[in-house]
Amino acid sequence: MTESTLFLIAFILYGFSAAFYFAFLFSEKNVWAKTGYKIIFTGFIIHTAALVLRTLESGHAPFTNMYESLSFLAWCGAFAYVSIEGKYKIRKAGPYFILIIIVLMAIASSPLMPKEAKPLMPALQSYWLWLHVSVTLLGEAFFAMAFVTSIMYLIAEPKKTARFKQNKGLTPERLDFISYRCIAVGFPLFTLGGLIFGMIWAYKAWGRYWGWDPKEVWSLITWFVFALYLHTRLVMGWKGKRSAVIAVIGFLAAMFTYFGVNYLLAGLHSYI
Amino acid sequence: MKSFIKLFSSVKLAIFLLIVITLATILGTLVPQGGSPEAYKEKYGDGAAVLINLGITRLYQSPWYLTLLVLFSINITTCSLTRIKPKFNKAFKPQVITEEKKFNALSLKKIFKSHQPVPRVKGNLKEILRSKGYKIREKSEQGRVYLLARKRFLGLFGSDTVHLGILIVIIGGFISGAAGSRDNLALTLKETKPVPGADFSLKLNKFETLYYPDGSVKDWKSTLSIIKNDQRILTKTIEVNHPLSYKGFIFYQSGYGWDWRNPQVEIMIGRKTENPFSESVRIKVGEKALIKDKHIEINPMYFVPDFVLTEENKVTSRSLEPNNPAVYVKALEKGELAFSGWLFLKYPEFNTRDSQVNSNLSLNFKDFKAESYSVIQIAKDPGVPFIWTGCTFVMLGLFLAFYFIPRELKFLIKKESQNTKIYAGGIVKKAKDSFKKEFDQIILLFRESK
Ligand code: HEM
Repeated sequence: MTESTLFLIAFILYGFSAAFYFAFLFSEKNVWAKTGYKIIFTGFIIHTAALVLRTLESGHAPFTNMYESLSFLAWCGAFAYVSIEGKYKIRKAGPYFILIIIVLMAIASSPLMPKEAKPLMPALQSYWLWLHVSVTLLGEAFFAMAFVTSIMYLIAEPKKTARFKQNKGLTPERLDFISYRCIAVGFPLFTLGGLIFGMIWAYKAWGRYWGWDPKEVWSLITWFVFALYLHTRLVMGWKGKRSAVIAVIGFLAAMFTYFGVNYLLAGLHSYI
Repeated sequence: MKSFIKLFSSVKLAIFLLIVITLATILGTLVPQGGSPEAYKEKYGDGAAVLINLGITRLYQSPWYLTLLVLFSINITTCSLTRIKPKFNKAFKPQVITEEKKFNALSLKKIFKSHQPVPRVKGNLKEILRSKGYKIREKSEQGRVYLLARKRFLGLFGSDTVHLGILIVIIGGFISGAAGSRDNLALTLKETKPVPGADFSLKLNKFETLYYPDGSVKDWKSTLSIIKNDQRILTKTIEVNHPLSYKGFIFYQSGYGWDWRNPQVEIMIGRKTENPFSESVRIKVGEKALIKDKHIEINPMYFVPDFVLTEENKVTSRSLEPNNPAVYVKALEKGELAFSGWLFLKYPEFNTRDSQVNSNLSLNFKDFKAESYSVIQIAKDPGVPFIWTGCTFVMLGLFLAFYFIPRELKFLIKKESQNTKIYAGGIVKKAKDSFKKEFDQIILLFRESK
């Protein structure tokens, strides 16, 4: 079985999982969601196998070009969902979040993305590459989760009285709480991977820990936004709507760091 | 002074500064940084002068951006300091509750009865609490027993640890900016050059470029020696991602190149009618070699590492990499022009020759040797230790703040008619769910105890 076959199977399973979750959303029958969970779990395992296979074949970390890095981000997303759903039971967020995973998989498999594993340029041959990218993307997957629950909050909150009363499991308060928990996981991961490991690697490869490269700067901006989230929440008692808006902005900043900077702003990181 | 402290300990100011710094930082990614005045003039016209004067073209080093960072640092320091004393009191001088009605105000509470006598209740509770990792303080008066059980109270200082870390990182950044330096040193093989600002020199003993099978560069390795007073102090091979550090200086592999001015080439000489080439000669470009008994004079005139023809049919080098090395050779036989044309190392089938010259002399380009040099970047950055220390504090603090959340339980045990009455309560700020679970479990364990 080749890496691309496994990738395709995982992609299809994610698709089925989303379909089951949407069926759950409309029918409100728990079986659908339970099946959806089993399917995404299987997809996640197969996706893991695909990444392992690619690593063995290319001999380096599976995130050195855009295809690999998108596939890895989708994998982190699946991991974040499987673990958060396992802990907090947020089935109603499932369909939307899995949709994000599917979009990532779709962009990764588009013909525009070169898929062949190229030999690594000298600066990329470092175990700090593994640590830097994997931990950062894992953190971003949790920001993505918080993004989904925050958007759901912003939609649900105004209609609180009408429909959401009977919506036992996922009240707006619960959504707000889960957003916070996701950021409490994502923020330390992002700090460690995106900023600290990034600085260590830059120091080893280029002799400077910080060079105000656009990608570095945007990571810092993302970090500021989430610091803002934590402080307005903890110290000023902002909860709910304003918190949710900051979480959404934070995720958009993270995505701009990930995609936008490569295409819109020039910098050292553009070989990714 | 009071109003200064009040202003700088406010979180509102922190939020305001955080927003302003974020916006300023974004601005710096919209305007290219560190370009020349001419480049800005071309891009922005008359606006260029304004951008330059406002420091936007070197924004992250501009006085006003640095001022924002200083204000932010003062803010973080004052804010953490003003809050630290009450936290210390809370952590190290905890209050044991002595009034029943205070239990009503706690967010987790339970009031219940037991048949066990007071000392037994106390013993059982303490045992259960200890097994859950709590540290216990107790107080008794007039037949009543008060217990205060706490764990993870270091978590109270999570945010302070993060803030201290950030402060150290900012200080480190300023030190790097003020005292850091970097230089490039290009060394050819066996060359020794003094390190700027140091009392020792650097020697390049060996340099090699490693390639992948497809021809792209895999790595560069330079074997360097530190030389002091003509004595070799240490020798190490560095490569990309594996620098050498010595006395606060760090030596990085930052680039490489060849001196293409007069490389040595190896040319094979034969006759069109004979195969293979019977002789070869090594010679520097620009020099002449006589192959005596054959009366042949070989003269490689020009060399290009990466041959390409321009649109006007001129020869140039596409790059400084030896991707397509070619040499232009002229040869005389007994004083007569016998050959002139380009020879290609990798594509001998494309070798050219002057069609006017009639001779059966045949030449081939076999090998070349150029002096390669290695570019070593020398960095000195006394801010670095601060950065790593600060980062460690930040991570430690984040762990404490999010995953080492203090838990505090209080108990009042007193005799009431035939029974013992127990007031139990807990204080939570964050992570209520798991604390409540533990609380319920403790009560349950107690109920099952004898
Ligand atoms: C980018 C810079 C900053 C970062 C990353 C940061 C980080 C943190 C973190 C992680 C927490 C704990 C949050 C939680 O437990 O949910 C926290 C709490 C806090 N921060 Fe900051 N902080 C920053 C700047 C500031 C500044 C400038 C101030 C000064 C006014 C400040 C004041 C506070 C306060 C008062 C708390 C609550 C303390 C507590 O209750 O333990 N922070 N900060």
